[in-house]
Amino acid sequence: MREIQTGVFEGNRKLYTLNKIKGNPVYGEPFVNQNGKEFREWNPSRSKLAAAILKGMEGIKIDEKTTVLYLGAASGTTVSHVADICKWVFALEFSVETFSDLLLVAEKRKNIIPLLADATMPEEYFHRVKAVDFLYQDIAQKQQVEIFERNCRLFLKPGGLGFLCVKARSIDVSKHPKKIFGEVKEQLKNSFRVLDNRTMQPFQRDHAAFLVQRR
Amino acid sequence: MANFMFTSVLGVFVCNETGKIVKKRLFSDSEQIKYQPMLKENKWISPELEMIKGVELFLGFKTEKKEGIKFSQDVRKLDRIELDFEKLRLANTAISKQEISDDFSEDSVIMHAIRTYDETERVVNALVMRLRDFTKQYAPIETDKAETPEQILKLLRTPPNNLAVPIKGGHIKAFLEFSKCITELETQKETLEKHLELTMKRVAPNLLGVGGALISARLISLAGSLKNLAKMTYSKLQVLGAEKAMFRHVKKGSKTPKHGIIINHEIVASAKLKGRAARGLAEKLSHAARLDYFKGENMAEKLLADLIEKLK
Ligand SMILES: C[S@@+](CC[C@H](N)C(=O)[O-])C[C@H]1O[C@@H](n2cnc3c(N)ncnc32)[C@H](O)[C@@H]1O
Repeated sequence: MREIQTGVFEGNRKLYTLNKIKGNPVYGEPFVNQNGKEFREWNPSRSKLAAAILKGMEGIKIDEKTTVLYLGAASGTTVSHVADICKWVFALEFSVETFSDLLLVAEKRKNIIPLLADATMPEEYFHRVKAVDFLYQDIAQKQQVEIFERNCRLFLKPGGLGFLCVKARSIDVSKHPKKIFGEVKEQLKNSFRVLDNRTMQPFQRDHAAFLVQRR
Repeated sequence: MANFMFTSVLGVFVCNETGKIVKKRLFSDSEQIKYQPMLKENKWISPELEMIKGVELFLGFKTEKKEGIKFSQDVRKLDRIELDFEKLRLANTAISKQEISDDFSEDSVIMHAIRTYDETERVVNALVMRLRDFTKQYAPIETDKAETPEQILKLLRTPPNNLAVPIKGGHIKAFLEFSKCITELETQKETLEKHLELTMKRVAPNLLGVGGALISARLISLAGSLKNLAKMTYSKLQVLGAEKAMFRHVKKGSKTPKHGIIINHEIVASAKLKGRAARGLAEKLSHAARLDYFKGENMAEKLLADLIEKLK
């Protein structure tokens, strides 16, 4: 097991995070025990952050001091790994059905702060969060880039990092994904330094991830 | 220089420009819940108004301006305020739980009920298909004639006198025993349908009247909520449930799908010009959904009569 970046481990071509809550899987992921430590396998087909790291994205500087705002937390799959790595995670999800699962995950993992809210309405949760070091967004929405920019402006500390997952099909079904990704990059350049971007091939189809830094 | 005010789920804070808290009014657990709806809508709350004197800037949003107060959403300010994460976690968790239980609206009951109903129907059909394979062995002609699950079950209960293939009674009895669970599922399905109708009578009387319980409930379920259905254009409502066909249309340029699940409605099924009937019905259903969502009066009968008149 090799630590390839703070809190992220690799062994046998698989990614792992150090399980903060021993003995507790979140979504049925396997464990590996080594030197009295328990590692949770981190599946790149289920998590775009894992896919990005496996694909060699550089500069995702997050560690045990990082505070995170995570938009589109779903049932907490990726959130739980981010919570293994980081200090605090505000996890925001707007679907009531999915949110109940997230609440259960947050009940065990006490550095996850669950918020039932809509990422397109940051003024509705401005009073519930803090400024953060890392803003992660994975919501399949047409206006996903604008939503990301707005949330970063309100909640990402200057110099902080943003990670945006883009699903080409939710922006425009008829356009070629490559073209969409190019346009997204241009748009992001207006407000951020774009540090890295990758497609999620072969882990997720027609998805790309962008790592940006707030000026 | 200027002091600024910030309200969080934990309380109201007045800070100096370095972000140091100079005055605060913490919320009790019940106040956290109580103020949440107003804070979410960015309305002023009384503890803020009590502390506003001497404040020149409000960090955040408010829908109503206030004399002498400027607004800012500067992230540097937000960053400087020292709030305890553990307390934020507890408050946010409590608020989220409260909001979930508030959101437990009856249209979600309708959605769960119709999904359970449809799933039960699928299961019953699959099981009866299995039994059919069995009864076909000893009673092929009668099995082919059977059109309903009930008729197949009857072949187990009272097998025909002249079996095509002799079969030991014990075998038939074993399957008959099993088939009791199908009968039970059918009964429970009907009970669920009655409950669905009762709920819709309260929550969506217009939809119930125009579309019937099952079709209207499926529309709500496909839209995701009564609210979504009410906000939908009638042309979208018309193709709800035809998403697969719609996708083929966009991708491959096949014919535009004319109707989704509303094709099963009597009025459309019996019409000669199905497209016209489907559009007419979709218009009325859309009207009904809006009436129900905005708690308007029950006009189902009139809507239905108008439609029939129009389609004459
Ligand atoms: C692709 S899933 C996220 C998966 C998750 N990031 C993971 O890797 O475990 C997208 C989620 O975003 C949520 N979502 C979509 N639009 C949203 C919005 N406006 N506000 C909050 N959540 C949203 C959806 O309900 C869904 O759960």
